[in-house]
Amino acid sequence: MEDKLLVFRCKRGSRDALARIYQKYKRDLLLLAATLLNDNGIAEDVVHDVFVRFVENIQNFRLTGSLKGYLLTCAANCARNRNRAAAGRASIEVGLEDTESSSSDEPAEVIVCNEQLRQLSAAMAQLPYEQREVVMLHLHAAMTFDTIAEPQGISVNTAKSRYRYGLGKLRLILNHEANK
Amino acid sequence: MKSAEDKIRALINEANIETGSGADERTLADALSALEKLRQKRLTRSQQNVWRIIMKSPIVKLAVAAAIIIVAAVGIHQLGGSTPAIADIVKPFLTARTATFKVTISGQNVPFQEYDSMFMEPCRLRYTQPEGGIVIIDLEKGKGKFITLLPQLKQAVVLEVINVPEDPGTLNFFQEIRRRILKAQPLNDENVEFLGEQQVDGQLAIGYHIKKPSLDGVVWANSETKMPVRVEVREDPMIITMSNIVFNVELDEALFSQEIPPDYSVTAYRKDMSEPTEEDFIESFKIWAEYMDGNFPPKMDRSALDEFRKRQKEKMKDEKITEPSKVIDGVVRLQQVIIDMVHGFPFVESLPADSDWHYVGKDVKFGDARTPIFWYRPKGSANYHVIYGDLSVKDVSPENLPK
Repeated sequence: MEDKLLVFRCKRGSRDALARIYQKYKRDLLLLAATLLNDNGIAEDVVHDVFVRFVENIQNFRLTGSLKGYLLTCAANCARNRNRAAAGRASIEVGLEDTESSSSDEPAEVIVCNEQLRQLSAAMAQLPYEQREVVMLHLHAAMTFDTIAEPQGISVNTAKSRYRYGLGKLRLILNHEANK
Repeated sequence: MKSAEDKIRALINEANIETGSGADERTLADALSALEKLRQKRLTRSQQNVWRIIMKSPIVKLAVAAAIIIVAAVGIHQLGGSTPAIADIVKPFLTARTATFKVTISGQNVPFQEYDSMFMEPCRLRYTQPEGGIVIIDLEKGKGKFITLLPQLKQAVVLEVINVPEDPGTLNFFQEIRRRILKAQPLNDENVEFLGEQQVDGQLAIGYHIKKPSLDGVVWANSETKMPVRVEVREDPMIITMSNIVFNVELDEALFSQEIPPDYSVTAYRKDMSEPTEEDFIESFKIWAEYMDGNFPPKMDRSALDEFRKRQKEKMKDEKITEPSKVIDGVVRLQQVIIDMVHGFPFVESLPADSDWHYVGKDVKFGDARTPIFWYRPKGSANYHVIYGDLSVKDVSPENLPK
């Protein structure tokens, strides 16, 4: 109910309500974006874009589910677009400069704010982007596979497979970390 | 697999991440800037659509819906006598000198709306619009004003109403409740269900569920004081709630002052609230023809008004006026034209069933003295009144009516 009121007040121009929504969910969005993109700066840009677009479209926005779920879906979409754009740029650069490495082979700047985040980021960075996204949306945003699959244009079974493969790899990675 | 899930969840929950310096400020500044732009846009739109704001305000519609529940509640007690608390609950609505309350509208696919309202006798109401506008209504002895103040724009919209019906309840939310309570007595109590006691809005309250074919609503009152705490009316798909109700609170009369601050620009309209007569009806045809290229409405239907509005918008577009102040002037003029025009057309609705009215003005041109556009039989008359294309009226016997 609090979120409905916040959205209502936000629609009516309440700056306090907007600030409250931002403070309430920025950590969740930042964590998702940072884990997906492995770049703190870009993750902040994603959070920025999500909030600004949320406000720009708020007049037509109807809160039917959870606000957190909605914002995380927006963040995931935004992160996916940025990842595709980055992959596109990387492939052009590869073609032009004929280099052997690509950005995806080499984890970018890993955000380290505490040990748990370092472990999480390091483990996630070893998964392909698609698996990373499904795992984070399911475990962090508590989204069902149906709702994860739809905006990505994939089948529910594909989403489930990505999750299963991703989790299998994470188990190996975490076990390996634990045995060090 | 489960342990990996648990481990990842634990890492997610315990991960500490903070934005870099300045990121919060940048995001909030940009989001707030977008919010401000939207607010300005909405305020401008609200100003242009003043007729809708004032006359189609949900709070006026609410008056009917919310009043019904009180009406039902009182009536139920009067006949049955088995639920005395319900009479205590509604009594303050009849006797209060002042009141403050909040009206909330919610529901599936219904925009959430909230109005903080104040009432003061004899018939004054002040409420705050979600857009930030303040509406002050003061009606008495056949006349009054609706004033909407838009502080952000330093603008005021004044709707002066004349020939207000003796009982102007429908124009004042609180007064409407009072009116209907009085009018409804006595009623029966067969559809009242006592809901018991529970916490409502932070108070221990007793509730009654009133179930009628046209009403599904709940009244909650403080268990000890019997003062209303919350009234919920279900008007599918809306749920209309009246809460934070305080009676006889000390209110400064200045809150209901209709003096407009000197630095505000003023847009003024005038509305005749009297029952429309045949003359008013003819005047409406005249306005229509004048603004619709000499034609008459295609049918006697409220939907025809949409066609009128559409045509006037097209005309304004054709004139290629782009200067904002002139656009607003045009809209304001048009609103007044519509206010004047819609006053007469409801004359048709007021005619009794045996008036045998006919409308045939669709393809008639204004000025055509030979072709009738409308006829009806006035109450108690053997003959008909026939209105022609030049808007003259003749008394015609039934055998000489147009075929």
